[in-house]
Amino acid sequence: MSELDILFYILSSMSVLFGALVVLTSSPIYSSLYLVMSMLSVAGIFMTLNAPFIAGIQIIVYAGAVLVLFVMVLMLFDLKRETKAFTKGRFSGFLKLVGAGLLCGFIAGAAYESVSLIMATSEEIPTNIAAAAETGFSPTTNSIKEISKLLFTKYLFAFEVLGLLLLVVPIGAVALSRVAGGTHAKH
Amino acid sequence: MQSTEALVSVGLNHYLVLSALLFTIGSLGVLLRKNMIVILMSIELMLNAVNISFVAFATYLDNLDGKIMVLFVMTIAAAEAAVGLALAVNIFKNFREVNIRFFEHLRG
Amino acid sequence: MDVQFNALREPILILPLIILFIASVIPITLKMLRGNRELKPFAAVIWGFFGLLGASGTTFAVISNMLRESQEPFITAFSGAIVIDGMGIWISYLIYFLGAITLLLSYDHIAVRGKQFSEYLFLTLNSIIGMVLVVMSNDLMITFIAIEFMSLALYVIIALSRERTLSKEASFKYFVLGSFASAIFLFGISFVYGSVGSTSIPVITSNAVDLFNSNKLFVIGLLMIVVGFAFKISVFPFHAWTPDVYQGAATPVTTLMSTAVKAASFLAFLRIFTSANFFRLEDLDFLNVMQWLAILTMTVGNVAALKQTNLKRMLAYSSIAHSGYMMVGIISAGFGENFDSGATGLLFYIFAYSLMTVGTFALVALFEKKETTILNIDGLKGLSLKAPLVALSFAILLLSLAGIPPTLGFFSKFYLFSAAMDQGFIWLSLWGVINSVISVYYYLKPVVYMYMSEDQPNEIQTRLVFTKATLVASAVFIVVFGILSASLFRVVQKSVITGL
Repeated sequence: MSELDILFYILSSMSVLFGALVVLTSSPIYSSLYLVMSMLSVAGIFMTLNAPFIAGIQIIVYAGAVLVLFVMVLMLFDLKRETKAFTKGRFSGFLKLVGAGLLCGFIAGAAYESVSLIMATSEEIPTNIAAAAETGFSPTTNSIKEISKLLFTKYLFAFEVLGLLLLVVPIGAVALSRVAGGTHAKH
Repeated sequence: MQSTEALVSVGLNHYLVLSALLFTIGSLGVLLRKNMIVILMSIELMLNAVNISFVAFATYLDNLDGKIMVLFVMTIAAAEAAVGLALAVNIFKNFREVNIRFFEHLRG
Repeated sequence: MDVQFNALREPILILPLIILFIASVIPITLKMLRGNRELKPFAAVIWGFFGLLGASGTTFAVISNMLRESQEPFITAFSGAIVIDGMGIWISYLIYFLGAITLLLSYDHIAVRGKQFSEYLFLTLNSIIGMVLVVMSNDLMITFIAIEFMSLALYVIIALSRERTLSKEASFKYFVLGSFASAIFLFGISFVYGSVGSTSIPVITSNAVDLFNSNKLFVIGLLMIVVGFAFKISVFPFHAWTPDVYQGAATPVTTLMSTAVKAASFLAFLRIFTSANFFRLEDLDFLNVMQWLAILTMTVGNVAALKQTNLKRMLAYSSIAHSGYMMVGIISAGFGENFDSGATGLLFYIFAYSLMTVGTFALVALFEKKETTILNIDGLKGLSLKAPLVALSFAILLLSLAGIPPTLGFFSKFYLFSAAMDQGFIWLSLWGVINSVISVYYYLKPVVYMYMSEDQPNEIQTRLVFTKATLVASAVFIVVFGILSASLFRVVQKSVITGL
């Protein structure tokens, strides 16, 4: 049981715990703060997966921009604690819970069965991440240089389309927000 | 001894199970919660879970495609959050309510 | 000299989209330069038409020539990110045409033609760009990005309607369910990526059958991808959003959603089955699940449409039923031995269905005097006396949707189901025919009301010249293409097999 394994277990339980709290808390502003914590734990998970660039982007973009936007909008709404936060039907809620749980179980089971098949195709990487970290994932394949080389040659088209998307979305958002009256206007 | 070995040393399936758990929790949030903003946050949680899955595969297959896909998914998730929040603000300005139990007009 | 030309070759392949984008930006830039005063709607719409005309013209003149010169059935570009083939070019022509019709209907419609018309135009044209990208994508990454692009613009367009309550609700409902389905779609892509090592569609489909039999994770991934597509094409059990969203959105937007979005998504779905050779699977569960989805979609759509009083909602359920028929096309293309015959049937059906649906929604738009007008089927009573041309066109469209000869609808169903029967899916085609018979009841009810009732119909906006022209033209073309359907079918067939 190496340190990296302990780190994984701590971080994963944190992310699952905070994720569950996001869904279970009745106050939306607490939910958003729990989501920030969950995202930071996920950034830690990315670090254990030897993807520091992705971890950095997760913190900067997700926790640092998207969730700040969420918190800002929540503050704009000034919601009180919800009395009826969950869906009404007990039975349908239970069914949804069971359905989601079944899906999770299917995926976990399939993962256990198929991982050996997947690993068989890539011999060099050991199945154990701690051992792999020692023998070393080759440092060159994970650097920003390699990622950006791929991004600007092989995945150039997707990159450009995303640029287009990032133009269209703010225009759409501004068009939506040009409604008369502010959020605290007297109706 | 072998079962504790499998449990203790972390491999690809651990990451996939974590990803599945987070995805399930996020989907339950979308299905069960009534506040619009919390639904949007649950969708973000689901996309995070998918990101973990992509990076785990990318690392274990020694393939950089997964990491690049994660960059794209993050961009799209941010764009979706922006549109969703703009919609929520628009609805709030019009109706002063963001609880979806008030929006059942279209049933039937 | 050669190297220079090659470097230009790839951007030239997406020249139609570049032209369309520039045309979409011009109205909104002009608006900004005028100090945020809205342009005259005609001036704005004309730019949109230039863009669509330019895009289709470029596709016709440049892209088809490049495809012909290359002597192969398809061209890939940008390191396998996009593919240009006959199917894609056909559907992109269809999408440009449907976009033009939507612009015509939007120009007339009161809920949309307001102070934000330039933004609406920008978003509509960009959504069309997204749809064409979906059609051209050769890599699951690009498919996901393009589907999100198309959908995000669409969510905003739905909410931009002047109508206060239903449109915002419809937009948010579509947004939540659409993002949920996209997340499932993405999760499926990650499993498929993990099993195969790449997200490129040709790589995945060539390994599909072997992986299907051996790797459970691949199966779950593929099923989740199917779920993602099933949402977009409103297949059971992911069809529940369709009536609500179609009813709540403004009618021009509903036209775009029910025709172009479906066409693009069906083609992307079809691409997953290209050369996958799923007929080699020994385990028939996948095929059975797909067949059940198709049958249940048809049946649920038709049975629910029988009970509807609101015309727009009835048309939404009818479009769900048509999705079921189109699923039969997907099944015969993907699981039959001959991909081309099923694909041709499906493409022909998509074309026919789009033409019919456009006309029916044009009729609904004709009745919408204010943005909150609701058109019930009862409101059509006695229409034949007040507006005979309108009533006749609508009757032709309804007969075509029901599949009654000699309309285009009949021939498209004939080609689709005979292709399915050729591949051995007898039971499936039989169910399709039974469902078509069931649907005749609710398609003929408005015809009966129009021609055999003495009541007064709702008021028609006869000032809406373009909408009325769309309705009448689509009815005319349904009859004309119905007569010419054999030659049209051969054109589609040639493009699927060899590229235009």
